[in-house]
Amino acid sequence: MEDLGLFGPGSMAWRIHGDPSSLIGGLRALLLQALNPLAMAVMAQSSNFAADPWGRLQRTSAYVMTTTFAPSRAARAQGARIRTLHSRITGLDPVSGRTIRANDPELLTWVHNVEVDSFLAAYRSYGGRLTLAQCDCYVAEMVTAAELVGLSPGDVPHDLTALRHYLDGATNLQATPEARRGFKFVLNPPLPPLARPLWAVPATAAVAILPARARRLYRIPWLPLASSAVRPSTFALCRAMNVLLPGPPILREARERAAAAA
Amino acid sequence: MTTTEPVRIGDAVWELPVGYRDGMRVPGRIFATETLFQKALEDRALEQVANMATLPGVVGAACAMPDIHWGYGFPIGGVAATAVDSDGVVSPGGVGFDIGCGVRLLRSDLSFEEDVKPQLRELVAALGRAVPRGTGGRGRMSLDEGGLDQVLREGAAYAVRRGAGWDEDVELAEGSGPLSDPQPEHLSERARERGLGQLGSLGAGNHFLEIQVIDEVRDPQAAEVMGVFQNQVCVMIHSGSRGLGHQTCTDYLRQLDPLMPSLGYELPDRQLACVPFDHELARSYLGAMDAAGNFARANRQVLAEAAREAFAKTLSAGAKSLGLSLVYDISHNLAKLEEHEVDGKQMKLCVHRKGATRALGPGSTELPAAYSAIGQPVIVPGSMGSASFLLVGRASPQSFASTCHGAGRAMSRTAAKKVMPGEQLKKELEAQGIVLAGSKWKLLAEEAPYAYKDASEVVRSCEIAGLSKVVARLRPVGVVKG
Repeated sequence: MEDLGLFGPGSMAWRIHGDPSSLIGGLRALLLQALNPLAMAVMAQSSNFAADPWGRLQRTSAYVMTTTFAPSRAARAQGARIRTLHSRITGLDPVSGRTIRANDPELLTWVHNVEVDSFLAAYRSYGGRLTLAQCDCYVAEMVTAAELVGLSPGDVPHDLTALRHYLDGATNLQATPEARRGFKFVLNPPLPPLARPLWAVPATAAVAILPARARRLYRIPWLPLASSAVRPSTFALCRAMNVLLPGPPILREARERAAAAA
Repeated sequence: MTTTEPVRIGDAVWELPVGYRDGMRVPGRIFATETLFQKALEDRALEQVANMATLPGVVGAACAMPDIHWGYGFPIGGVAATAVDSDGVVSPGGVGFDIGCGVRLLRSDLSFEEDVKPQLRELVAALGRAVPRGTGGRGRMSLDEGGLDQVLREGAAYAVRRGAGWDEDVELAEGSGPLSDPQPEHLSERARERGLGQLGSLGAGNHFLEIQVIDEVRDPQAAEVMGVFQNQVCVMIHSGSRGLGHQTCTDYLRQLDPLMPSLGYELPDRQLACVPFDHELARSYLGAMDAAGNFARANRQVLAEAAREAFAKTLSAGAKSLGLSLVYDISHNLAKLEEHEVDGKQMKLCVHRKGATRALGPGSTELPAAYSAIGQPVIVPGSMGSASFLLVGRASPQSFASTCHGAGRAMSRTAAKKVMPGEQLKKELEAQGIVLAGSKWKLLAEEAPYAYKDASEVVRSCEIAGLSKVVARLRPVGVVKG
């Protein structure tokens, strides 16, 4: 039988991660993840988030695409690589001076949950409509992704309600100077001047779907109406990308395998 | 001609033939009306039904209830029976993380309009104060290590001995006593640690304590036996084994994972991790699972006593004089060793029920004497403002005497579109006469009644399929949410 990966066609993972809105989801996740000072400390001291948030975004995106669309063996190998990588990375808690490990389950849980919430938020705003049953299904599918990074399935939410409870309970958020620097960088990446206006769309779209308290922490002036204003144009852009662009190679290959197996 | 497509084989029964996916040992069997079956097709949970059918030693059919949805390895709403004396396996994913999660129903002598409505707000507030909730909530009954051991061995009886409840509470609940083979020694330190502080707490998510009113009686005879009547006030509690059960499932999955390659099973999904009955780990998991199941029952016992106290205080009368007695307590996340007839042969089976409820028929010797004539009471909790149901089992051989456990999320797109801010939802529910105890309103946005499947279609499917029969419908008037 054809190996269609850990999720397969028809899964919510394929639908959500294969949509152009996932780029915005990835951006939102990065901005939100950075508000956890411990996560930020690890990112700052290891993955060079402040100097190269762009690179980190690309790496995260490549990771998500591989684990979602590659055959199971390749997806698991990718998981094993990230676990090895995390086991070597540490950061220094600027407040307590204590060493933080990148594979600390609490930290990984934060990163995982923010990612799931962000892909979901981006898809629901700019990708397409989902029923709540489909949202639950996506959160449940992502338990597999959590296991890949070394989390145990009991550590992460299995439905939307549990995810909401977790995120609501995250009270230790703050915008450290590093997070702010990363934020500026994400909004103004080192792109040729002509390409910058193009980047403004996904960047603004990501900011538009940040939780209000995250925007407050970053001190972004925002009117509630602005989120509604961003939505139609971004939605249209994502649809157009879906139609006009062939998508990344890994996605195309996975879809071809699925079509051949059907 | 053989087919690999789902086939309708009864008014509310569908079959996934062997061959629907590679490696199936038995067919899949889904109990659902046409409408619910079409919805199940949209979700991919049917793939998980087919996956259950690949388990070593699985017999009969891999069953799915009408409220089926995607879960960890096994679908929620799945029933898988494996042969204990031959090549069968036990799988923690077939029970789920909230081991022993279930529902308890208290009746009363109170009728809603006259006795409770005038004081509904006070009553809900009192319940809100009395019931610890949320993920970290500390339980009402403190425990030391010795006490925890007794909870794990004795279940609700321990709580009653410490004054939380009446002797009859234990006799009337499922099994009329603790689960048969609890082995607290097979729980990890971490699981015990989490259990120590959480006895008598609701938890988070879809768990709740509700004041409900019987708004329809469909089987007056069975209702009379259970002491329920039209317009009567009841209390329903939906909760489980909290962090202790969760940790136990996690612990065993972690131990099983490295073992799987050596067992040589070809399974389509790693999350189906399982172990044969003659393996030491199978015995210790089953013992730990029974212990966690006992914790869940004791937890609901303590919560029920909290409700009785809140009623007694608010209505200035004793709980006994208010008639707040137990109707039943039943779990929907457990694996049990049971005898069933399969293909004309009597077999000892391990029946995994994850989001499915046991539904014994009239005359079963395992029922409390009081219910022997009507069959096993089954309590189906609704969600956040939607109706709940009281059923009786029909011991269907097609489902290993199981039936549904809840409503599940609605699939309609309009429901998702209608999501409203929590504050607004609260107002809308209150406009319908439902009072909510202080909670995190913003988290409720996606919890509105229309966000869930109508449980009535779910229980109707089970009735048509002959799994259970509706006795009464209960509508919530006061909600304390986890």
